[in-house]
Amino acid sequence: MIGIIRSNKNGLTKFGFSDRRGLTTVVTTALMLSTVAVLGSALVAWSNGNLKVFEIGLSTTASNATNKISESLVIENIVFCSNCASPNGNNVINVTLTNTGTLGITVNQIQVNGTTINQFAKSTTLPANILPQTSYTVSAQLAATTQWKSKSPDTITVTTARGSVYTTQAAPP
Amino acid sequence: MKSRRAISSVVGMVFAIIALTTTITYISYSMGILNNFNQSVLTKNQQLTDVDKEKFQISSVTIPNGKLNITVANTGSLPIQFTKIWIQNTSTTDWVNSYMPTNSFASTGGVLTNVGQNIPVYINAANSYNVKLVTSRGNTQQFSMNSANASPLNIQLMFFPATVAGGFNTTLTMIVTNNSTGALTNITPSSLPSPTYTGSGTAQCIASTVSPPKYNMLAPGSTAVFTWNVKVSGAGGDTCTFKLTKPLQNGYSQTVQATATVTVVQLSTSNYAVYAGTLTMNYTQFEFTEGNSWSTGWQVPSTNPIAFSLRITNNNATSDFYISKQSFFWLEDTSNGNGVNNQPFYIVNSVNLSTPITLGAYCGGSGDYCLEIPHGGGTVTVYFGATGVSKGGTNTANLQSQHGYDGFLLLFGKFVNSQTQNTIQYGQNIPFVAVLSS
Repeated sequence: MIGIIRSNKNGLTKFGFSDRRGLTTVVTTALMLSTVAVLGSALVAWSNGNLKVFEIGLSTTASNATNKISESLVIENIVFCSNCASPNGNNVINVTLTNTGTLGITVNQIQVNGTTINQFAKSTTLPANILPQTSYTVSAQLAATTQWKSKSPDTITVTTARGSVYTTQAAPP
Repeated sequence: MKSRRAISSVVGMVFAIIALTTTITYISYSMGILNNFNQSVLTKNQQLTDVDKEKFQISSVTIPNGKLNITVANTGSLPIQFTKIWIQNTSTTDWVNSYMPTNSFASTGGVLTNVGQNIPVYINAANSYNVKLVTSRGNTQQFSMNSANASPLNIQLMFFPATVAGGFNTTLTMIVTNNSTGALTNITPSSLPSPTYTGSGTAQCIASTVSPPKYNMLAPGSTAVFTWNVKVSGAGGDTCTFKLTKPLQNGYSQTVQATATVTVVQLSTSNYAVYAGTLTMNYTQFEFTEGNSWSTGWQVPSTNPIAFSLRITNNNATSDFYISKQSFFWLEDTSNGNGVNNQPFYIVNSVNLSTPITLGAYCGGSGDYCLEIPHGGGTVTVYFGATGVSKGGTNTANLQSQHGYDGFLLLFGKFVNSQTQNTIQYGQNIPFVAVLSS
């Protein structure tokens, strides 16, 4: 519908059908402004929400990576135990781990020659939390049919909850 | 229309500002996160560098009053804090403990002493131990005490010399090289077992105490040398063998064997004579005669004039030796101290076996240097029997009855390739001869 605006000689506008067209324009403008405001606000809110999610993700990732880098674990001592478990005497390896960093470390897993140890002697267990500047000794018990062999080097691998891997080698006497 | 454009611009500006602010905030936050991460990486890198820079050396280990006394030198560029000492008794089963040293800080370039004195552990000299020092940065250094229980060692046992004359000493030497990466302390050789003998059954090898009795410290790559003086006796061809199945006290659990053999040689007179000097005399072929026949031994008669036969060897490798008539065999009377009966016997060409003997004058009595001894070990028989002041004569003499004589041979001549060739003259004294006249 097209409105026609007519003016008389005095310059006054006569409203009839043409007056209704004028009101429609204002409303339309208001509507458009409202729409823009609503859509803009929604877009801003959506963007902020997304950014917040990204921010949290970035923060978490950076924090994990920073903590992992800051982890400092030392395999301090390894003792091949002859009498720590019976009847298979030579199947326990005592691994002493020391946290030399400033963050607590959770040790999740220990492997001997690539085999994950699931049995432990001397009341030790994994996972184990090691506070900064403290040590923890894990008595890794090899499988019943496995024994450490004199002069034969064994590879000890320790994995933390943050995914850091520490490896060393030691040979029984 | 103007009003609508203004409102749109404001609204757009508002949104633009919001978007820009959010973006800048996010970028700033990300940069902050990255900065923190970067700082962590740098810190970790610094820690790893510090661990690498941390270096120390165990200078000595002693056990005063049964307690550990370790001296450590800080050879790195960072101060060191020792946080733990691990002690494992490897002679007993599974005895291992860790302790906190009270004296534990070593400044850069400094020496830390008395480490381990506060530890409530008494070292038993009969046991072997592995000791490990741990620093606050996680570095460790281990050494063995009283033994080389788990360390690769090269051990040799040998005699210097391996062949020795009966009644003489030789040196039994044990050489221990530390091929491990850790220092060894209190390295002490095991007691020598009784040797085993072969041969006549009379052989005997008596070893002294070991010197030095121990090495306090044997750094990686270093060698310890222990020696015993061994007095050897027995018959020729006898041997004695020392066998150590565990060369070091508290040493390897597996058998390490070192065997050395000594061959005992009985010397004869010819061993001395043949290989000494340019001109040498074979004492076993020393002979004398009064006319009937040539005899050996040191018991000589005095009834008739006597002559001597000596085998002389020229060991000069290039020149022959031409003997001068000035050469003589000198016998000094030991039974009469005034020298009246001292008797020279000059060189002669020949001795005729008649009673009494007659002599052939040296070089026919006129010339000289007529008897040649070939070079390179050539040997000739030289006769001595002429007396009197005139060399080259044929006068003979008796020895005094029942007198003792000692003497020597004086050889004069020249090393040349012909009798007439002139060169610097040569003289040599060949000791020792002793005879008793009957």
